[in-house]
Amino acid sequence: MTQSDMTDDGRTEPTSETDSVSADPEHDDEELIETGVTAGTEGGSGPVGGRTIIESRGLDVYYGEERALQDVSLEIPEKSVTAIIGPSGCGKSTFLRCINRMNDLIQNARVEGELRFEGKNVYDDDVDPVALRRRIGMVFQEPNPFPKSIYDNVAYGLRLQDQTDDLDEKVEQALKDAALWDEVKDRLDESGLELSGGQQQRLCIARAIAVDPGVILMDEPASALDPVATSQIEDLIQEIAEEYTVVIVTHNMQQAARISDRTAVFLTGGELVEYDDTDKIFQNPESQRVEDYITGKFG
Amino acid sequence: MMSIDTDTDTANPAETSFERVSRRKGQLFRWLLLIASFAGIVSLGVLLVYVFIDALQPLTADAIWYPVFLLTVVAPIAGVGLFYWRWAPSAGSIGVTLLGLPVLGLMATGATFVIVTDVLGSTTWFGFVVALGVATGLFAGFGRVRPDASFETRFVVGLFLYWFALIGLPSVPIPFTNLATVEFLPSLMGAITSLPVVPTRWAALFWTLVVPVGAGVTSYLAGHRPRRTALGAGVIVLGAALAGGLLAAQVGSSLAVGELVVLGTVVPFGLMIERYRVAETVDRRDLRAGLALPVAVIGGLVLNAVLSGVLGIAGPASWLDWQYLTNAPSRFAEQAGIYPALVGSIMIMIIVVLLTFPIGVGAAVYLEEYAPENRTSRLIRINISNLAGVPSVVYGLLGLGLFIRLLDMGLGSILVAGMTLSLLILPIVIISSREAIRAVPDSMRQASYGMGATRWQTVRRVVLPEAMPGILTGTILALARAVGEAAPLLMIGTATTAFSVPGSFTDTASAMPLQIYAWSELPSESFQHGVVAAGVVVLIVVMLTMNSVAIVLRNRYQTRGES
Repeated sequence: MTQSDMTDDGRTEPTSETDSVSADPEHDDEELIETGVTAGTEGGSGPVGGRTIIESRGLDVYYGEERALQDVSLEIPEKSVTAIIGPSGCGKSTFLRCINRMNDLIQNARVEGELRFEGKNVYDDDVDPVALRRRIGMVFQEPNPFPKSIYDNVAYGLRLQDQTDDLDEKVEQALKDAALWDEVKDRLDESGLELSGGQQQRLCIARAIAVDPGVILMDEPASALDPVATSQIEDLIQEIAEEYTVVIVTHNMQQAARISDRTAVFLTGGELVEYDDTDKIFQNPESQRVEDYITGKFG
Repeated sequence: MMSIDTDTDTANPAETSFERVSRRKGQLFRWLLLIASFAGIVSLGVLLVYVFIDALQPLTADAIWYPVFLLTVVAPIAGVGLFYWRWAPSAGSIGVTLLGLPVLGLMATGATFVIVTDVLGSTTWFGFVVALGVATGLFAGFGRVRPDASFETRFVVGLFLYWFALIGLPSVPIPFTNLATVEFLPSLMGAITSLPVVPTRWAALFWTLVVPVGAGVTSYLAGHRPRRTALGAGVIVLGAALAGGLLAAQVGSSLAVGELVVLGTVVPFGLMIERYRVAETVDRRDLRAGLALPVAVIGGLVLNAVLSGVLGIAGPASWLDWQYLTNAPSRFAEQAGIYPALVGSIMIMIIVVLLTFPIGVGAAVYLEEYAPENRTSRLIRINISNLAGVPSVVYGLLGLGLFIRLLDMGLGSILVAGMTLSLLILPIVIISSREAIRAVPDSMRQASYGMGATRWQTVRRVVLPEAMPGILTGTILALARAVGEAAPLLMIGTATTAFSVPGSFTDTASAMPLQIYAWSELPSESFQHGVVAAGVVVLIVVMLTMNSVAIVLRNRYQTRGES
């Protein structure tokens, strides 16, 4: 399929990093075991146990003097949906933005600790944040399509990377994958802003997956949408999780329970309190605070 | 619940009463605001009417002229306007566009003609365009042959090509000798202009303007029409331009003028009709109705002119007529014209545009998108805002000190005038461009960076396209201010009256505001009330045209952003 073709194109720049990591399988194993202990979970081989693609170890983030994340360690398996929940101001979006270094754009943000993407610490000096973001897509809270045509919106990432061969097919495939093709195929020239909120958000998802990234980060992608559009987005997330790793921040606990395989609960002060399979978090959490939060006693 | 409430309300015998709250102060305030709003507008309006009456002298025509004018020009236009208003409202904007485009095209044609023939000279222009075309063609060919060349390679190759096309290797003095190297290699442009056989004026314009425009029309039409139609349209453009030239030559004007007038009016008119025909949103009947306005205006004016000529009716003896636009200043009010000052103003504005647009927009982009938020950048921002309020005389003094005394660039030259006016409006351009850039929602930048765009890609593909309408509006309004400035030009020694058209950008020239000022000093009544008023009208028309271009640009981009 075109999907695999795109993968080859899309990963021209950073392959060297991936190679250097995967060429060292022992190193990979070591991490799996080690973090299995620190995170206090059943290890990487739970019901969803894919290969670990993102792993943070002792991650601290400061905004000026204020500490937004405290010593966060977790690992995210690939091709699954990982939800991050918690009360507002708990640092869940901050964590998400650490993964693709969007925090770099905030002037006084400072990151300590490690965040590994496919084994490579993304905060190493030799990592170009722009190249990193080309392999990690992002969908934001408010749908933010560009004021360009639907076609140009989807083609944006491909054009950035000069992957303009077979552009039409790639745009079509991305729109199909985002379950938007049937609604827009006759009006690709119209502005993306003409679409409804839910369609705009699916357009943003199409834009993100058009370049075939390894991971898609979603920052409360349905919070600005009505219930129908929300359920469409949720279905879509579960579909794309077959090919992509999805990390989704949400303040909607039902949503996390419905769509995610694993759930991380952040509580006030930027602390990761519990991280486990979603079923376990919602049915039998280990921490009393998590139980209180989930049952609505605080937060 | 509701029904119970209303029941109790109506059932309640002791209905509460409300006292009146006084609004007298508010009413007074409102009327004062209304007066304030109208005071400026009305007084300016009265002044403009007064000036227009002085310039056009509408009461000096033969008695019979008024009914003829009313019947041939006013009545048809009023009829068409009434028709649009009552029966075809959506045709109105089409009609205004179809009329406005050729008028704007005509003004642009005039400016182009002045620059190409009177300022640059058609031979230089021909050489410039051909050399530029050759360099561009070679550069594109290089891109075709080596599509994977790095940015650095392409930059060096491009620089090399354009350098030799336009600049060449001029003679450079060899240090420590009094020898200057012979001109080692003239530029392509220089080589073309020094050829023994150069095309005549109309031929030069034909090859450099008519043929490219015809090719452009063909390639535009080829996008959605059959090849044959597209090619035919291109050939028609060439033919129409030639026919216009021949016709103009017959009636005593020149081939070059005729072909440019046709090019500047017929081509935009035709292209606009084509766009309306292609657009699905435009009704065919509205398009046909829209044609009525240009037909009524142009047809009415022509008919009026023909009738007046045949019947020997004298129109109003306006100060503002064709002769006024094309003559040089004169001691005799009847022969005085504004042409050299108009050309001077245009040339100054060319310098101003070339300087302020890149520098102003560049500074705004840097300050908004790149500059770190620290004390230095804050200081710079505050200072730019303050500079916008500095009186223009002070900028004139700066120009005098900097460009003339320090850099010795020649008293009152067009270049110095342009640079001084650029200094004057740069802060305005920077501020308005910064506002436009800041109005681009941050979510757009986030989206772009999130897609793995570099800062340059984000600025180039998201921020600038979004901010461009605001930037253009602000820039054009600032340019309109520069056109009307007199004080800084006086400071740098620009001529108040120039009798001939400047030959180059280092010549002295006059500008319209200065020429008007000079005329107003003359004792004669006809200068003070006629010639000056006509000059003011020309100046105002130029400024209004620039402003309306700004408005059109803004509306166009806005509707595009929404649709």
